[in-house]
Order: sequence, then structure tokens, then C-alpha cells
Amino acid sequence: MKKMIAFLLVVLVSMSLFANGSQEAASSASGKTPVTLQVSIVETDWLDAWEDGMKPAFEAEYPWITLEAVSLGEEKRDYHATHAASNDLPPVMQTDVGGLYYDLVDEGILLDVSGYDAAANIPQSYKDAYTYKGVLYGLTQGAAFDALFLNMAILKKAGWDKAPSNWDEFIQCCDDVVKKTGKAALTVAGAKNTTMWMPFETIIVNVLGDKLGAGVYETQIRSGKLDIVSEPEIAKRLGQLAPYLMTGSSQNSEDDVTAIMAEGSCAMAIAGNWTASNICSAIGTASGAESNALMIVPPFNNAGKKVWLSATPESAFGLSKVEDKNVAEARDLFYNWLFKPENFKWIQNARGTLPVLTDMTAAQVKLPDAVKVFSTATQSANTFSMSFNNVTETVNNDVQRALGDLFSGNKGAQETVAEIQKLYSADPWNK
Amino acid sequence: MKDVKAMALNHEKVKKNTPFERQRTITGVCFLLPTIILVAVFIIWPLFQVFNLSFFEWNGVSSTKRFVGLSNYTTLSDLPGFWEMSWGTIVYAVGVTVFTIAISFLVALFLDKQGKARINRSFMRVLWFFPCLLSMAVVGILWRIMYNYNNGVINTVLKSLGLSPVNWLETYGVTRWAIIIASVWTQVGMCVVIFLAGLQAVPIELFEAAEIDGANSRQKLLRITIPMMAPSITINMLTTTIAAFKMYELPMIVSNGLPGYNTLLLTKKIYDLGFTSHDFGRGSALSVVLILVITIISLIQLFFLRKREEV
Repeated sequence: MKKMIAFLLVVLVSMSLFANGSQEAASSASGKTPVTLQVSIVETDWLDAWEDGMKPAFEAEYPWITLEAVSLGEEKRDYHATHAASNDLPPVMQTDVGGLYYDLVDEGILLDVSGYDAAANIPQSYKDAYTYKGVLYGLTQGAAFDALFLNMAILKKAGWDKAPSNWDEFIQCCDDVVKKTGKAALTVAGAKNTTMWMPFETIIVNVLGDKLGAGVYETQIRSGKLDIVSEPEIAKRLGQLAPYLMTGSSQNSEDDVTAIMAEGSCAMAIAGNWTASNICSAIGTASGAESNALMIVPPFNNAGKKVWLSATPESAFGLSKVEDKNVAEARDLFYNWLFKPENFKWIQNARGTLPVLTDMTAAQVKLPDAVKVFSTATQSANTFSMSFNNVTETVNNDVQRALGDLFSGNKGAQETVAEIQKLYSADPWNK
Repeated sequence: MKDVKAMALNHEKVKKNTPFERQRTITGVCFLLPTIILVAVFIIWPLFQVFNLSFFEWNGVSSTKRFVGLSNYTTLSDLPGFWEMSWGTIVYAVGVTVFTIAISFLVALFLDKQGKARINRSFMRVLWFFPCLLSMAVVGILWRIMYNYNNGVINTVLKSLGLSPVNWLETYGVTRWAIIIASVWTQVGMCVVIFLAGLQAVPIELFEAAEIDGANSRQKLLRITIPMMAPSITINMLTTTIAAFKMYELPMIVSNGLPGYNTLLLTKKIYDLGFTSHDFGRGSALSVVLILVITIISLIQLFFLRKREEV
């Protein structure tokens, strides 16, 4: 028995030596020192694309570099905040607008990527969103919009052959769904602040947008001066919407919304376009055909008025300062490689988002049909910037909580609007 | 009498000055040193750092910190939902402690019974202890799924019995109890084990003597079992209370602190202040407050429970 254990140990040690030897052989062939490059990936909906496409393709091209995905599935800001505090940030990391990332730029931890080849084919408006004090600290992975997903099979049963086109029709449609089909009208991923804000913010901007004009909503909410209390239409519309939210919506994750739509227990969902592939195929599962899935700009506009749509650059990829020369070289190689259309297409297609690279060809972008239709519709809408670009993270979370109370029937619309007004006036982005 | 005392003291002094005693002391210190170093580096130093940080404004990234005195403490009550969170934390801690102790004591009594029940005792013990082996994340996800309004198993059972489903995770009051139930489920097992050990240490002669004196079951429980179990009760009360005040993952996973701030415990707020709001100063101040609260409550418990043990 002892001999057997000793023999097994010898075999194991030999195998590990052999494995190490083969790695060294690969690196000596290229004359490079082996490097492990950590890439912080938080959005896991393109994890398959990473594992099956990007990682093997990059490692085949640069055999001395091993890619390691870190922070999978975690809250991006939480992960980066804890690692920033312990001076242990990954060299390539997904970033957001504001808050922590501005602090990291101030401290010179996040690098200016404007000189990298990767930045050449990103439209200027996306670069502007990730520029702080003249430093371009991230290149976006996609363009984000809020969207209304409809299961047309359920809507038809409720007497709606086509999607509602304005606020009054939308509320009527919700009512018809509940009364004529017995199903829930609408759901949202309330556990995620970005998605929970969508119906609320879209109501505000469709009520105030025309009066304020483009860009004013963002300026006012950033300074804590946006007045939502003295515009009674906002509370009125929130009050109209709340009863149609499916019970449990404030606790839903994005996966829960997909599951609900796949069950066919709810007719519509407000969600980000980055979940389009999943939700459209879920509606297909529930109704028997994906052609029953419709994705439209949320029709929260008044009849005859142009709709306002929440839009923003998605999370971006940034680079953090690295002391080790070999790691820094690997980081730069990967960054430029990632933003080549033939490599970036994996992210683009997996997320079903609209192309952000100007040099991607039509053959490289594969979007679900519903997204293509939606893409055309976005071009004729007024756009405003999503919540997390305009309020502090604390306000973002506290408003999500207040909306949870409203949508679960614990509080009334007027009380909620007053509470939210207090929250962002007390802790504005621009202090 | 004084002379005797002086002689004894002198003898102690002489004894401590011998080479053997000196070597013994040095050996003792050497054995203690690794533990002292570990405690100092991993407990005392971080505690001091937290206390120190609570007087500064710091975003966790910047190389400079700004001294703000006591303002991190005085502005804690300005946090949205602060009093609701504080009250929620107290209710949660009291609820979990009371129910965990009561249920685990009853379960331990049941498992300790002689006779037919003894056959299944080991199996039952494993069964009760099983939740303690699961990570809080797993427990949280499990209960979250069970509490789901639309297709959770609890509401499915309620509906099949002809009852209305309960909105476990979005209703004020109800959600708090939903969290307490999940927490009690995870903590009962460990307390049962400690109570069982205590019960088995009670001398059987006491019960035999009581029986001869004509004591009934209730009297035996109140006059023998519970007094003899006082040390186990002390340990379980203290550890459960501290664990309840320190709880973080379970409410976060099960209810995400909703509805409102109803199940958002102070530990989660500490994390949010530090790592979401990047306000490490106020996060540290709230940590210090929580440490003080836990210490005071533990000392009060210890004082009363020890008194009872002495009685």
C-alpha cells in the first residue's frame, strides 16, 4: 500500500514537471516569459463566448500569455472597490461611469487609453462618456437602451394585434391583458438598479423631456435640482403603472425575468437590450415561435409626441497601472486584440447589443430579428442618459428601494416621488 | 497572621527568582507568542485601524485621508433608513436568538429521551445538524427560491391547500420573519449539539433522587435540567446573539434588504458605505458602533447568565 502511494506521488510529480516543461517549451519557442493576465469580467452573459471563442483564440495567437477571468458574476463596483483598497486590481477591467472609476483616474490607477489602437474605431460620443478630466479611461463594450419586450401571442388574446404606441394605449393594453387573459401585464428586473430605474426614468423624461429639452434632465438630476414633485403627471403615471407590475417584480433578477417570460405568465417586460437574445428566445419558448417576440421602444410618450428613450454606453474595458513589464506588455496586446472586429464580434453577438465598433462588417454582427427592428426605431427617438450616469451609487440603490416599495404596493406613488426627490436632492452627483 | 502572609509572599518571590521558574516563564511566553502575534496582527491591529479610520474621510482609493473628528459618528443618523435598519437589526437579532435557543432546547430534550426514540437519535442529530454544514449563500438561494411568490414551493403548498399565496419577500413585517425563519433553520443544529452535550453531562443520580422524592417531569425539568444546563445556555445565547448581529449574507441573498430598509441589516449598510458609497470613514464609524453594541449586549447577557449559573 505504502509503495503504491509512493508510486502515485512520483507519477503526479512527474506529470506536473512535464506540464511545466511543455509550458516552458511553448514560451521558449516564442522567446517570451510566460505571463498570466487577469481580466476582470463581471457580466457573465457572454461567458460562453469568452471560454469557447476569445480565450482559446487569443492564447493560440499569443501562446506565452494565459488569460484568467476574475470577478465572474460579482457586482463590478464592489469587486473593484475591494481590490482597489488592497491595491490588487486586475490589469484589464470592466469599468463604469463615475464614482469609483473617477477616483481611480484621479489616483492615476486607471490609464488613459486614447493612444491605443483599440480606441481608433470607437465613435467619439462613446469615448466622451468615458472621458474624465481629459482622460479616456474606458472603451465601451456596447450601446445600452431600455426596451419593452412583448409576447404578442398573449397580447393577441387580449385583443391587441399590434403593440401600443403611446402611454394611454400602453396602460389600456396592460388592463386588457390582466382582465382578458388572467396573466400578469408587466414585469421588470427590480433586483438590478439599472433595470428598476427604467420604467421610472422613462416616465419622468417622457413627461418632462419636451419641456426641458435634450440634455437638461441629466444636468438637473446631476445637480440635485430636478423637480419631479411639482409635476403631478409623474406621480399619476407611476400610480397607473404600479398595479400592473407582476407581484414579486421588485425581487426579480434579469434571469428571473427571462424565466417568467419563458413560462408565459407575463405579457410584457421592461429590460435592457443586452438581454434581448435571452428574452426573445424565452418568449419563443412560451408562445411556440420566436416571431411572437416583439421588442419596441417603451411607448411612454403622449399620443402624437416623439418618444424619449433611455440610452447609454454599456460598461467599458479599461486598463489599470501595472509595474511588471511583461504583464504590461501582455495587457496592451490583449486590449488591442480585443477591439479588433473579428474578436469583438463574440461579445457583440453574445449580448445582442448594437455594434459599437465602426469597422465591424454586417457579416460579423448577428442580431436577433427583434433587435434589428428595435435598432431602426431607436434612431427616431429622443435619447437621454441612464440613471447610473447621473446619480451617485448610494442614490441609485436607495431609489431602487423606494421603487420596490411602490411596485410591490407598500407605498403610494406620491409618497414615493417625494421620497425620491429628497434622496437625490440630498446627495447629488455634482456635490 | 500578618507574618504568615509575609512569609508566603517572600516564598513566592524566592520561588519566582529561581532559574527553573525563569525558564518556565520564558517557555510559557514562547508558546504564547505565536498566538499573541496572530491575534495582534489579525484582530487587534485591524480593530485599531477601523477605529482610527472612523475619524477620517477616505474613499478607499485616494492616498490622502481628511481628518473629520466625530462627524462620521454624528452624521450616521442622517443616513436614509438608518433608524429602520437599526430597529430591524435588533428585532432580527432578538428573534433569531429567542427562537433558536427555544427550538434547539426542545429538540435537544427530544433527542436526549431514552427508549424508542434513541434508535433514531444519531440519524436525527445528523439531520438537525445538516443545515450548519451548508454555506450561507446556498441557504440564502434555497430559501429565496422557496419564498418565490409565483412558483416557490411554500406558496405552491399554500395554494394547493386552498389558501392565498403570501408575498414573502415584498411585504413589511412578513419578510423580516421570513429571514428570521431561514436564519433559525441554519443555526438550530449547532445549538442542539451543545445542548445535547450539556444534557448528557447532567448526573443521572439527580433525576433518580428527584423521582424518589416524588418530583414530576415538569419539576425535574425546571429544578434540575434547566439549572444544570446553565453553562450550555450561556454559550448558546452568547454565540447566537453575536452571530445574529454579525449576519450579513442571508438577508442580502434572500430579500436584498427589501422591502424598503426593513431587512437591510447594519452589517450590509457597513459594506455599502465602504464599498458602494466609497465612504470608508462612515462605514468604519458604523462598524465601531456595532462592535460596541455587540460588546455591551454580550456583557449584559454574560452578567445575568453567570449569575444564574452561580445560583
